[in-house]
Amino acid sequence: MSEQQLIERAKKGDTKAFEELMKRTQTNIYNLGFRLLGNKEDAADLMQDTYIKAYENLDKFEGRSSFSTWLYRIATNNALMKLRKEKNKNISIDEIKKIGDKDYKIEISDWYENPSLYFKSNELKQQLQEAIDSLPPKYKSVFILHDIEELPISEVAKILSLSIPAVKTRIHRSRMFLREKISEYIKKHGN
Amino acid sequence: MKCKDIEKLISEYIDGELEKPINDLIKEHIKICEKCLSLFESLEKTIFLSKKIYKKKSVPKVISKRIYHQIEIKFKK
Repeated sequence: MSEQQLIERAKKGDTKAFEELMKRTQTNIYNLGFRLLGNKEDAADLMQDTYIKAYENLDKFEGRSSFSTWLYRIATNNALMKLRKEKNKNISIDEIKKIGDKDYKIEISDWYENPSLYFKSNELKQQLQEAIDSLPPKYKSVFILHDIEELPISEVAKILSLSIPAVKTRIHRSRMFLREKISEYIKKHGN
Repeated sequence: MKCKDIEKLISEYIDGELEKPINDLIKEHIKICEKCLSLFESLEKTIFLSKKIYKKKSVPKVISKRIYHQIEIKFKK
C-alpha cells in the first residue's frame, strides 16, 4: 500500500495503517532522537511524543511536504525544546561564530591521510562527540540533519523553517568549529 | 578568487551547492593553494569522522510495541 493510502486510512482512525507508517519511518526518527539527545531513553521518549503528536494532528497534514519531513519537523522541534532547557552545557553562539568566521591556519601536515586512523583510540571519538554535543541547539540540529542524517539542505530548511542561506551558514560554522576541535586534539597529542 | 572568498564558500563546494563557474574556480584554486587545499581536506575529514561516531541503531522492539499500544488505547474508535 502506498504512503498516501496509509495516511488516508490512518486519518479515518485506522491505527493499523498508522502502525505501518510507523514501521516505515521509526528507524529514522529513533536515530535522529539518539543523535540529538544522546541516549536511548530520551530517544525513545522523543519517538513516543512524535508519533502521538503526529497521530493527533494527522488531519492537519496536507501532504505539502513528505510524511517523513513532517515527522522530522515534529521530532526536531520537540528535541530542540529539550536541548534548549539544557543550554548551560553548550558553547555560546558568539564563540561558534568567531571560530566559523576567523582566518584559519595551515595544518596540512598535521592531519592523517586516512582519517579512520584517528579512531585507533577512543579518546578523539569521545572528544568529537562532546564537541558535537556542545554545539548550540540551533547549530547541532542543522549539523545532525544534514551531515549525519544526510538530508538535503532544502529539506533541512523546510524541517526547521529556515532560509537556505541560514542553513548553509550554520552547517559551515558547525564544521569549522568541529574542525578546530580536532585540530586542537592533534596539536596536543600529535599524529 | 582569494583565499578569504574560498573559505566562505568551501562548505557549499563540499555539498555541491555552487554554480558550475564558481565551482570550477574553487576546484582550480585548491589545486595550487596549499592553504585552501588543507581547509578543504580537513573539513571533509571532519565530516567523515563525525559520521563514523553515529552508527545506525535499530529501534528496540519493546519501544515500538509500547508506542503503538499507547496509540491504539488512546485513539481506537
